[in-house]
Amino acid sequence: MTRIRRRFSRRQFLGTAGVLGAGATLAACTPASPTVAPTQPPAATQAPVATQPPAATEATMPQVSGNLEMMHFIGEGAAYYNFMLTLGDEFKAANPDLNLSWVWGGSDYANQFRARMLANDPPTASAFEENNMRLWAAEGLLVKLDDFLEGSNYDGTGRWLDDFAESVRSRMIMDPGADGPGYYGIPYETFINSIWYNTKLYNELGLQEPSTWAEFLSNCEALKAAGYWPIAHDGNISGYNRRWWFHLIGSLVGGAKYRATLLNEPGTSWTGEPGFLRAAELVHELYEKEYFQPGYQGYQWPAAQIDFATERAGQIMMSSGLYSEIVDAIPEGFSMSTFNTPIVEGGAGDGPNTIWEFKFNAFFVPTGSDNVEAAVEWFKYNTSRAVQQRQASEEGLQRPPSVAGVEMTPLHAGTARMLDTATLAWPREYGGPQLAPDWAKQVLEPLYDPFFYGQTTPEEFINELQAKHDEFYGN
Amino acid sequence: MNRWISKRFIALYLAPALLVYLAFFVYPAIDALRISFYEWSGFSLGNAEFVGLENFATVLRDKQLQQAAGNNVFLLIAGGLLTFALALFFAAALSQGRLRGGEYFKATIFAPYTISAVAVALLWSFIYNPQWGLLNTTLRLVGLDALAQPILAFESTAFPAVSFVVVWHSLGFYMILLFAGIQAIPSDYMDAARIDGASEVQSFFHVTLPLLRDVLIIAVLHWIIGAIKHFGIAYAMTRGRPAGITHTISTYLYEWALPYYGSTYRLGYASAIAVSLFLVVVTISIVYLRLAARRESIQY
Repeated sequence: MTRIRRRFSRRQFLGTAGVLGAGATLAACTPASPTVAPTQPPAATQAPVATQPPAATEATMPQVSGNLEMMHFIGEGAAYYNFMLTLGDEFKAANPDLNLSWVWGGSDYANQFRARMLANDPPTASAFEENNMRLWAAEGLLVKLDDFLEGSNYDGTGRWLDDFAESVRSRMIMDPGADGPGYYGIPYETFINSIWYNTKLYNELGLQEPSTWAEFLSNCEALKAAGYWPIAHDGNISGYNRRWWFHLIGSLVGGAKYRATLLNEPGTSWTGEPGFLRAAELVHELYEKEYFQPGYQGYQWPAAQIDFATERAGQIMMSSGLYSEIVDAIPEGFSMSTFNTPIVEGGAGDGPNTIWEFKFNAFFVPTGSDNVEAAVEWFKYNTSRAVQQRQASEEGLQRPPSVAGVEMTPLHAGTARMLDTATLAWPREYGGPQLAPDWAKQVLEPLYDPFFYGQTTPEEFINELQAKHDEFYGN
Repeated sequence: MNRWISKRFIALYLAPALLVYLAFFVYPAIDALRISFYEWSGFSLGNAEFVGLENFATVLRDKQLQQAAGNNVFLLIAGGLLTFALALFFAAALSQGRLRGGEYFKATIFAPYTISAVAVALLWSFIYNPQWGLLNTTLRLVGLDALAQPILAFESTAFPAVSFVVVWHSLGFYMILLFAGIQAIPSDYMDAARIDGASEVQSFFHVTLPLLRDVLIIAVLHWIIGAIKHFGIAYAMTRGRPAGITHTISTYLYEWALPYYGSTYRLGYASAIAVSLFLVVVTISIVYLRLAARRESIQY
């Protein structure tokens, strides 16, 4: 057990009081957001938060010591890598008795983590994406962090849990969990899969961000007429291909109905709900009208991103991490923004204030960790508002935060707007890959790509889906 | 007594290697067999559920696995024919010693084998890019636009394209192996054939090839095992995508054990596939060696 020592000199007290006073003054001068959704943070409408390391607030930070081995799922050289190293150095400087070391998992992360857990030699702390963590929480691999989240945040200004954006909090509880439903991870970055567009091209052509699917198609047509590929798409990733259908299902049918149909609940079928076919027809229309770049079917990620970054294509559907992935390829003057996949008017599904695909990456403490206190303090530092602000605004990174009250850059104005207004945020494919993994692999996956490539018609796709679905469930 | 001491010395010298072999091959192999009887994610020892032969039953009816196995067979036969035809051709041509720049050609053909499979996969991913890849750009330049297709997308072309890269990568290895085998054939045989009036082609088929048989048997066995358990290039290049059409058995089982784009871990099922694959490789190897075995050995 690591002993937590508190050092609080008079000078530090005065410094902290000054910061808190300035913060209170700033907060008082900040106009209230006029349209804050009940479950969302006023992300883009808040006053800017300091972008420097929180030197003054270190005064309130409990000191931790001992070993902290941080096993991260990103690989060396990834966009987040240098930022993590910098944060680590700062944290070490603030905790001189702490020995912080790194393990960078990269694409082999899960394998490495598995070996460490089976060898009963877990890292002190780790980080991964939420869908995998849910499985591990259920298997008892993660420490439940509810008590820590009830405690003070890094700055000592309030309950830690309250710092997180409402959209994130609604997804933070992992159920089932080995120790009951609860908080098994600490989100530090969020991702929305949405449609990114080249703002320069949009401005040149006088286009507006679409709010309906019809407007989106109209923009595609305008881009095509101007000689650009309307949509860049890496067609060799099946999960990317399926996004188009799933986002459209959202507004036409609704995520809950999709889930029910996937799970073969009574009264559901793929052929009996016209919205599934309609969504497929709209995806097929993108193919027929040649809105994807030619040969998109054989594009290997990240080739399409390069087409978008080099202004050959006007739009791309990608996650919030797109910018950090293409930052080295974009020419000077390039700018982009994003909007939620537009709804289909007249659909019977989820409304426009829905995020069709949302996830977070999170820190967690593996069961058997030898220094939970240091791990938690490290997580607190990473999710402090100042650090989150740097994450959201640092050149080359600009990743959407997990905590509320962080101002995002113009790049993420659309992301901020989605977070501001969303009343519902779905996981990837409405959670299908987790709910019915065998179904996803054996029924949907073999059928969808040939359809997406234009080899089968929407009707054939839906009929084959129903047939394979019936065979799978023995209907 | 001396013989007894000698045996002890042999055992002593063999022990380290044997221990390593037992620890890193025999034990994991036996453990994989044990795991194959469980439904298990592989992350926590307490969460394994014994399911008996259920995983093996799934292996028999898994259609995606059957497709992956079909790809292995394609690589084995089509890739093997291409590899050995080219390797024999280059080995024979270069062993003549009359080709100008022979050493250069030998090095050039062998060079891809020295590159890691991941780098080769990345390189060919760019070459195959439908828009600006070298292949389609060249096809369009020479007016063959109709052939400039997204080669990695469709069932008819995707795995053949991956197989071609495997052949390109491994050709140098087999060429060198066969080249060394040809070099080891005493020149007397060729001289005798020449005196008897045999042409170059006749000498190759009636003298070189029969005398190369032992080397060929080993080379082909190496190819068979490699093709059946192929993983590297196929995984690094496509990870089975799209829609699983470029999976091999190994990449498919790996996707169950450690999915790249998902969060479902089924180590028990993956182990059942691995055990089945092991049995297939052993069976084919034994059958092949029995069929290929010659009664007498060649001694020059």
